[in-house]
Amino acid sequence: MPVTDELISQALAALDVVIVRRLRDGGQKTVKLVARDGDELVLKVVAVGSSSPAALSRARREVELLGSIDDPHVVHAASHLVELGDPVEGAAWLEEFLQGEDLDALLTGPWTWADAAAMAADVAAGLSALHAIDVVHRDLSANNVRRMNSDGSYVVMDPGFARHVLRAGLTVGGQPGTAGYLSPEHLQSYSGVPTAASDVFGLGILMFLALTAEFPIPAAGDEADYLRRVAVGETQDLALLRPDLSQSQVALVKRALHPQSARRFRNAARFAEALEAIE
Amino acid sequence: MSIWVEDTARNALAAWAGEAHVRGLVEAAVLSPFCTPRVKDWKQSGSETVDRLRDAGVEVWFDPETHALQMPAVGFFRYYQSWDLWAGQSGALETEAEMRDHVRRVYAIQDELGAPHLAPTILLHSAQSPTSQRALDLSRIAVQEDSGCRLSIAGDATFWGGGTLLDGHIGALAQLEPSGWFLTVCRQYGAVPAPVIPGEVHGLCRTVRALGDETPVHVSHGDLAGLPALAAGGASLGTGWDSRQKVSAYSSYAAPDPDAEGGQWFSQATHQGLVACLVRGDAQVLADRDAVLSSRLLPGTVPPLPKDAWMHHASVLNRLSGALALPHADAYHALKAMYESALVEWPIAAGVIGIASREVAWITPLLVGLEAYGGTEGF
Repeated sequence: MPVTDELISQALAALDVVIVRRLRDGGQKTVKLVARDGDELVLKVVAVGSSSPAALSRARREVELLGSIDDPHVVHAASHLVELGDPVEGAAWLEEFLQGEDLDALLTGPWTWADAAAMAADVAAGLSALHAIDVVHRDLSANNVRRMNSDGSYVVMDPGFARHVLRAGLTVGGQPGTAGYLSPEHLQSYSGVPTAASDVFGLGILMFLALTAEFPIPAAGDEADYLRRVAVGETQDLALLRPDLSQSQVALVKRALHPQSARRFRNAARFAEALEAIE
Repeated sequence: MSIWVEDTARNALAAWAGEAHVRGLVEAAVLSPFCTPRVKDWKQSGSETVDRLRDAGVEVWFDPETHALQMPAVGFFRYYQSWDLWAGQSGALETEAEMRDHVRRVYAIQDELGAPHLAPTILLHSAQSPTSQRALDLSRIAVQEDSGCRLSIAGDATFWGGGTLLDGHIGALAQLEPSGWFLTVCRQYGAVPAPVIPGEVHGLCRTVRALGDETPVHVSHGDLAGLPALAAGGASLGTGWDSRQKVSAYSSYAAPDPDAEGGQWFSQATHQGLVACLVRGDAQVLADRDAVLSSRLLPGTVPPLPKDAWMHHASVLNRLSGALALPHADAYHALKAMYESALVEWPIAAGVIGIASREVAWITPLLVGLEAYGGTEGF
């Protein structure tokens, strides 16, 4: 069920904002730049229909989560969630507008270690804020990280699929995720689903991408083969692609990308400590 | 690396574990509610046993062995019901309330015995199933109740051979960050040496390698089959003088046959050079026909009595595990060399005795599993 103009009109009225321009449209979710009292904000509108019964609960979870975290490296909610229609056909909320660029647009060539490490440190800080309250992002990608124009820092966005480890019930298969950014746990179910160590795998992917402009597990080609390589954690060798990096630098990324999640850094905070310890 | 004694149906735990400790062969003993009564029977009570072990300097653990309740034909409840482990039906772990109550009861008994907290677990046949989710939930509750507890993981060979599924389950458990681990491979029957499969050995090694860097891992009921796990970084190995101490087998927890005579001593002699045991009769034939070869393989002479056989077995395990107290790659190569040597020695010894050589059944699967681990580690 797509987001209709009627839903958007209801959202604008309920949240007392006006549209500045479109940011992203994608089927059941629309993202627009809006303004209120001279401040620019991001409006997110999701359609809730019988074909997407989880959309409303996911939206509630995302807004509740963003409202509970006050960290400079995690996007902030700027409103509560409002339900649209009776019966409910959609939901909308506001987030702060991050003036900058998505990380995806910046991954055009190999970065220096210092630049990649600075990016990873900020993303790790944002993820640490989630992990500290037992929340796993589960869908970290270069489209969900934004570099701020103001100071060059990075902010984690869209924890729409974040899962509260303690509140979640059984989760069976069908983990969210983006091709190229999947961890081995994304292919699992029951007790094997993504954990904080899976977000660390995502951090490893972002660092690998920044350092090489290539995915550690390229998603191109046959999907079944890609999923097989994800399942066993078959990654490219960073040392071959970047022979100028030190052993400890390569080892850090390699550990973040270890096929066994128990052998990665346990969470983003542990990753950040190790990153900081590298010259 | 140290050797721990698992519980036994015999009344010898405190005496034999204590004596082995005095000889420097054993560090700890693990009591089981299936083997030790809470109140004195013809066997010493749990508290008496603990006192005697502690007086001898032996560290004491109490493993609730909740995972045995899911074993087929479990029925060896002679002592189990004397322990206050359940509010309702034994083994009922469907709800969070039931799990939490059981964990609290286990911890209360461990407090009563002065033993460290070791969480209960559920027997797993698959690393990805509703049951594995319940095992994870139970472990999470155990850590909530005491973040300093050790967690337990018990599964059959299929579970431990689960490859990436096993890794996912272990990764989720590792997130709980307990103070240590008990790992148990559960088997259908209690043959010694245990019939292993390479995938199980590989999975156990991978798991120990993943968990053992930061916290101690006890290879429960591991005995000789647990040596690869020690090479991968395990801290301690469970064993004993009876087969039920050496192998966590369904048959050990089954209702006893009322017509069975029982009480037979486990009568084998451990041969270090074969990384295996020979039944006492075969060991004696080997010693009679080729004393030099027998002495080299044992090493020493065939132990005449069950207690001697136990002390000899504990000595062999100490020497073998001591030889693996090396950096990971070196430990891998050391154990591989032991197995390769045993592959050569087995046909020679079997030829002297006049029995079928057992290296293909007992050594090759261990070696293949170990080599798979070495391959994934890049050794």
